[in-house]
Amino acid sequence: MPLHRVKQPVIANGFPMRLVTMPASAGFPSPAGDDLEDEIDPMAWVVRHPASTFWWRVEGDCLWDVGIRDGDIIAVDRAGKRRIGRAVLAVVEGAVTAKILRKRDGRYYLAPANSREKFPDIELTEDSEIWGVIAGVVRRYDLA
Amino acid sequence: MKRPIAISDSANFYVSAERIFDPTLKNVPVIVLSNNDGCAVARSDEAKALGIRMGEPLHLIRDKIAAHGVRVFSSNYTLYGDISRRVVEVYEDFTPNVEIYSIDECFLDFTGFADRTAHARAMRAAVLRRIGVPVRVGIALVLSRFSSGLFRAMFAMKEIENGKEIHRRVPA
Repeated sequence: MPLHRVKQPVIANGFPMRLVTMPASAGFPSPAGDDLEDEIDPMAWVVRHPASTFWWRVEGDCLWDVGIRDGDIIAVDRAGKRRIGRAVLAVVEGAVTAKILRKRDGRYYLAPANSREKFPDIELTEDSEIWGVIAGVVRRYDLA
Repeated sequence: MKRPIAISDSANFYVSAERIFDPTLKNVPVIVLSNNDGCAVARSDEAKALGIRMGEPLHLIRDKIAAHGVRVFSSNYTLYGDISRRVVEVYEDFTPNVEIYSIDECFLDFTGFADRTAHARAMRAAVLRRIGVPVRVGIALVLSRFSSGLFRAMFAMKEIENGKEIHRRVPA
């Protein structure tokens, strides 16, 4: 059964926030220039709690339906509220995995979100832990 | 004038930092080595129980490592610095005055908090939840004329561990 592991943190060195040194302007740049929109920092938009947000790289497509794909970089907030239906990072039998938190018949499950492939639900036990809540996803596409 | 000053520190901080990202390190002996992988500079409680001493050279403990499956890490100061910075950020939610003493120790001004023990407990819980490293907090009333660098030597540290409060003197 493929538990899709999420690899080592992309940042352990705290430079993800610094990655965005140039704020991107939201919206189409106005030629007039005197009516500019507010600038947004997309990274700051994703990261609500810088102290408790860590970046991981996703391996596997078990959260494809919620827009998280193999190779994506996800922001995981340890201070995020563990609500049913949210995408979370969980520790199951020593392995780290990204899944949706579900509840059925009073029991909690880690469920995949991928209609193309079937992955089994994993019941949350006392030994498993919700490591954090997925706060956002960053992806880039080939340019070559 | 005396001020309530808290000191926080983290036991086996480097090990705790490594454990954040690798759940398989839980409850097993872990050591972190000095630069150039010379000696053990951080030991988990399990590694301490095996008799691995602080600063012990790696080549002298190879047998122990093999026999007990000790997990060995080169030091990753970028990681420890990042985790340290995050911990301080949480402290700053609990007091307006944080003085960083080392990578895993801070002095925190607890002036103005009625129930300082409860405040310290809440702070520890927040660090554990938001970052995932355990920290210990001691509180003492300190004469404000001393600079904080001297605090450590004179602290009667009130440790809050597992709900029990233990008084101990912090060595200089």
